[in-house]
Amino acid sequence: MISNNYKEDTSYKYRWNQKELLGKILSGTLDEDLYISDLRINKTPPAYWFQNPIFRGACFSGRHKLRVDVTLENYHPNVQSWFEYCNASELIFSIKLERPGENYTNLAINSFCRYSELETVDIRFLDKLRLSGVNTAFLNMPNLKTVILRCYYQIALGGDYFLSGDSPNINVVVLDSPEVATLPNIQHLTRAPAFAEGGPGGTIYIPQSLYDHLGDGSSYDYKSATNWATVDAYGTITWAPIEGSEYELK
Amino acid sequence: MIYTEVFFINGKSFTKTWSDTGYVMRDNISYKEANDPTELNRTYVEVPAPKEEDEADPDEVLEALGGVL
Repeated sequence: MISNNYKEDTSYKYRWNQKELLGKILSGTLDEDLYISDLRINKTPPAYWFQNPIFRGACFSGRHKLRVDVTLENYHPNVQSWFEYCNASELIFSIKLERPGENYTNLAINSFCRYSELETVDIRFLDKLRLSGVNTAFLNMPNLKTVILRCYYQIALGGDYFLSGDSPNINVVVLDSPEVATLPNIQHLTRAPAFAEGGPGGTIYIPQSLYDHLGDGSSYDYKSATNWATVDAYGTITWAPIEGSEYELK
Repeated sequence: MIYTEVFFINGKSFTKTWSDTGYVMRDNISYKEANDPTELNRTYVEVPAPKEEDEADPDEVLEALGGVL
């Protein structure tokens, strides 16, 4: 189970009242890091809420961090386009389901932050939510270097890809899940130049429990997993444990 | 129909498996194209491609927002 214990980063402050905050976001004069805690959505989540007009385009002046914690009071299977065109440099996005079922519930993040200026994206699905699709989530993001998925289980389905050639600088992926993530075909990874055959290489961080068994044949791991084994054979993946790294949640 | 093809990377043999009508599935997980070390002898069944999720109506934005912030 993914731990939801984390230390609150005091560099994120939510100090303004709603009207002031909205004014700063819409005018592009928000000049500090922003943390919106416990944003509750009590109806079918709007696909374009964060895209139009709230976090679309130049809501920040200068490079800043954005953190948004959302609670969905009603379930909808597709979180789509929420941070398109966002001009923050780093995004932490946590989502919880108000009334989780006994079994895990699937959620897709299609078109999630494409066309944005983000350099780092950290997506946290806690409380019995698991990622079921990342169709074009990270498309055309020239500044994107690091993708972090913290969820119970990841599947990337759909016609377009998890990592895109239009986001050519991705070279760090963090898969913070206790199970091996599914890769529907190798292009979901190799469209990122770092991981392609002959590419300069990149680093993939995985839990220590999976890292410990890499390639020893004792269990299903990334070196034997479907499609992962093929990309691993290219020699462009450096595996590293999340624990003890800068990506460990503490 | 399911197809397979053997290829090599750095001297190691891999088998590619795919379907011309949808996805291939093993252990209840679907793949558009499955590439596996040949020695593992993995077998797949053919499944139709899943239905694409419809994009939400943009008009839902204001109604669902309801002044929440």
